[in-house]
Amino acid sequence: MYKGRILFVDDEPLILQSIKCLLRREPYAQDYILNPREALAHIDQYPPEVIISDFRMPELDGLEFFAEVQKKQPQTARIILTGYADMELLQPAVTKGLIHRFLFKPVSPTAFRHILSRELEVQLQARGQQPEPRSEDASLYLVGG
Amino acid sequence: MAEGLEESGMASPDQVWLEAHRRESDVGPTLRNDRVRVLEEQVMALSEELKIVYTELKDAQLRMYAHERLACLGEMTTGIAHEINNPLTYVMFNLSSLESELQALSECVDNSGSVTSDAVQLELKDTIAQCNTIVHDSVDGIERIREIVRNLKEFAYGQTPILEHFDISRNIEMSLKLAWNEIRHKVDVVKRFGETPRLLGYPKQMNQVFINLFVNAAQAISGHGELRIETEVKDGYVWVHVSDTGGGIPQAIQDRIFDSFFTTKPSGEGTGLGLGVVREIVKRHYGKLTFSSEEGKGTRFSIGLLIENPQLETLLAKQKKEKGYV
Repeated sequence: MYKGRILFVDDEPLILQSIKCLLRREPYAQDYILNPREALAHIDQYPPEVIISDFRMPELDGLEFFAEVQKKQPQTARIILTGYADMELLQPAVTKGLIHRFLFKPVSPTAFRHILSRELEVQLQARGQQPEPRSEDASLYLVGG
Repeated sequence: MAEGLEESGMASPDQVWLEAHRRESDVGPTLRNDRVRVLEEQVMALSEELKIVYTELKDAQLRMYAHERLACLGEMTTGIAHEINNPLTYVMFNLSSLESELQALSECVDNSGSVTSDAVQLELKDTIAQCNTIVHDSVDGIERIREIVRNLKEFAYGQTPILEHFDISRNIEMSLKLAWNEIRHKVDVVKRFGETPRLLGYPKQMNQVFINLFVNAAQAISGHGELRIETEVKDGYVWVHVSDTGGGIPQAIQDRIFDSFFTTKPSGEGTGLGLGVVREIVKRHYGKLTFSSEEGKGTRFSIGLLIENPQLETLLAKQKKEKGYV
């Protein structure tokens, strides 16, 4: 049964590795890519329902990356990972619908897991694919930090 | 000694006198004396003007240095905060993963009853318990670092705020509300607000100042005590006095309390950034900050904010101009 797919893009390998460890028992498929251009090529073959990307990356920043993603696959949930300093730059992007939400580094691990599952659930339901029911405790729906 | 006026570019009183004396040597004595007197007076006037201009320049220079230092500090702390956030993120994630993996290991050990001896089981469980404690303590440490970074960011973000007119009593009430959860169990609040005019400043930063002082006051009190907040107008300043009936500040450390990262709180409770931030914010208002304290009796912090604040008025005019107001 299809359980969804999440793509993680960050130029810091240790961050990607830590996310991979954190989510290793989750039921959904996961892709971890360091280079946003490579990620853009990858999603053609393996379209994810949710993409989490860092903001500050060399070559292509998070917003530029998501602008390209939006053109290719407008339905995908676009979530940006950022330090607080970038707030001013990101607000207009949220208003325009370029990104759906931002998560502030450092994110609480529990909140991170919850938000990912929730976003995936929403996406799969919207596409008419029910995800497998999971037991979740009624924790706060936190926006990181 | 007497160089030409052109050469030196700036004549000393002696040179001027000599030059005048030389030029007028053909004229009669009375006229010459008058001429000399006039020139002397001119020189005195210029000298006085020079003194004033020099002092103003020196002041402006000092203000510029202070401003630049603050701006530099702000930039630095933002940079540092940002740099720390990445490794902070993956360490936090990794510690959480570690907790999960230890849990899985524990379950594995529980299920391996048939394959392992009791002694081995015990050994494994003990090791896992030890690992859990280590992880737990590390999470604690990471949370503290996160707090410090958050404080740093708050400090840095005070750098270009908007100047506004505000009411100090309302500001204090707001700050009390914000600090309430942290202080309610320890203090009875006594308020004595005088009639105070509206002030020009950075009200959000003043919130920070008061929250800091209120929380410090509450923490200084063991058990239960009084937090007294008084306002008055005196000598062109609005004064806010925050007093507590806490343990007081020992004489020995009184000159260090404003140092960044100085804290008397037990390990894990204070970041030591509070009073340093308070001082910086008061400085930004061109205000005054004093305190008096007696061990065993309590402490009183006094903040003076200018009623007429020409430097901030100038800054406000500049801000308005930059925003396109006329």
